[in-house]
Amino acid sequence: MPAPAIDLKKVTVSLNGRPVLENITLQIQEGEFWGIIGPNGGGKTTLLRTILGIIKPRGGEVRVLGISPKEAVKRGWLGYLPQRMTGRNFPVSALEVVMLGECNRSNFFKPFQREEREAALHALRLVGLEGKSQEPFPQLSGGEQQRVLIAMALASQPRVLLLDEPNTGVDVVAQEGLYQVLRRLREELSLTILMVTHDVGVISHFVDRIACLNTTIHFSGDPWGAMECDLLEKLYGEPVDVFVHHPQCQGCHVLRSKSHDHD
Amino acid sequence: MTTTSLPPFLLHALMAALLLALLLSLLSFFVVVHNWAFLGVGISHAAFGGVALGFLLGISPDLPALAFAVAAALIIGVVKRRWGFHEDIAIGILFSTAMGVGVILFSLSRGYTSDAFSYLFGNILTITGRDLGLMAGITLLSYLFIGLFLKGLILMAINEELAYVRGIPTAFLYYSLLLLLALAVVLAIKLVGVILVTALVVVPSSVATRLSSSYKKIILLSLAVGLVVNLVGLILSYILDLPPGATMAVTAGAVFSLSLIPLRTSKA
Repeated sequence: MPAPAIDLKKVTVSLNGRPVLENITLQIQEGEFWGIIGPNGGGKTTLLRTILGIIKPRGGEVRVLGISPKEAVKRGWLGYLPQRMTGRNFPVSALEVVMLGECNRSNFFKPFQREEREAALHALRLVGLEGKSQEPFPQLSGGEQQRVLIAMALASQPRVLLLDEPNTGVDVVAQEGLYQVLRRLREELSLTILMVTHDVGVISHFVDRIACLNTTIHFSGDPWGAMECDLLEKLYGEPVDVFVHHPQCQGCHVLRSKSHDHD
Repeated sequence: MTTTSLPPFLLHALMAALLLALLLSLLSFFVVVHNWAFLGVGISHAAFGGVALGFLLGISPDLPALAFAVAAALIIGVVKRRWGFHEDIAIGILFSTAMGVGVILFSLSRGYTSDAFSYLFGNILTITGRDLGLMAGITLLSYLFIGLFLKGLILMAINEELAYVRGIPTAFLYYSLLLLLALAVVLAIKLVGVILVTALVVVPSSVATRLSSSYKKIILLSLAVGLVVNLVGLILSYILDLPPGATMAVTAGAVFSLSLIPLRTSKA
């Protein structure tokens, strides 16, 4: 049986003496598309950074495709889109951003090669932006920038893609397009995708599984199972209305809501 | 028949202006993209503490100035990376502390005020052949470093976490860049002084960024701007009999002001 794409066993993480993740056990199989939801400060970004090996856990074990995160990073198996991209105004073209995604410890001191350029163009094609390859990155719209950054994460041909709030700064219509692109990529490339998001209602249409995280995992499994209002209330600490946005935009409606239940 | 030749001090100053333009304008790009505008201020003022120590000990101030500048660069880096403060916080603290130390040491050393002035505002008469050799060496080293690691440096400037995930040795690149900047600033102090050196670190790339959206073109334009500022400033100061450092700083400000005039053509 192949090793899980991501395997967390009793992982505990503290930052500045404060527990951020406690006793996290989670197994994600290859080719699955997972969403992580939870309140601000609930440890979602810390979880991704722990899987990437940027943060070392205080306890427990993290394995990526059967090896340590550090080794997985070395082999280029992990693609990553951080939540805060500091360099959105950096003077580079969309193509150059994607080519930088192919940087690794064995080629970062060599000039860009033709194969890297072709791989970057292919990645841009996958996200539907090949026509914008020469555009200055800072001049692209928020949605286009996010797609370029996903192409950047894909350019190194990772086996696992970790996305931290990929819909940040993206309007509702573009968000929909972004999720469609991710779902298509998962199917075409057999990628394992783990995506952190606030978009509780929308991602249930697109992901295979959801984990609800607030320091510890309150639920993991079928996305619709996560929509239970009691669970969401426990997770967010207050009643939550879940709005479901139909993919074909035929109308949004409240799926579950304590206030509606009481009406 | 008469021949005219440049006085040796002016020849030295011209060569220093040329070398420092090539060095500082290259580093200027990374200063601007990392928002390190005050890094030059922090490092140069820290170096002033070293200058004062040199005077107090009765030795050449060059070595202590270098040691103080390198220490300042490392402290700024460690405060950022270890404790997560922005570089400006460490610079703000170091800047005033080192300057205070410098003034106290100067008062203890019974040195002449003009000695302090030479380092605060620059004195082209103090530039030696050894200084020029050092400037050439550090310039060469900087070009080699940036030429070799450009991809990693660019990725790090865009997002350091992403660079780390791609296996780039981010700590090595970060501290190397800070050290090169510290060395460059110390070398530039003799030409323009502690207080005015920031202009030569910040202006070239700030002007170039106005003119292009491509980092390669910005680096090349930054070099051109640096050369114009340094050489025009120095020549003007000689012709008009003005202080060279101050004239170069004013020239830099004038060039930046000109770059603010809206261009009809779009950025290349």
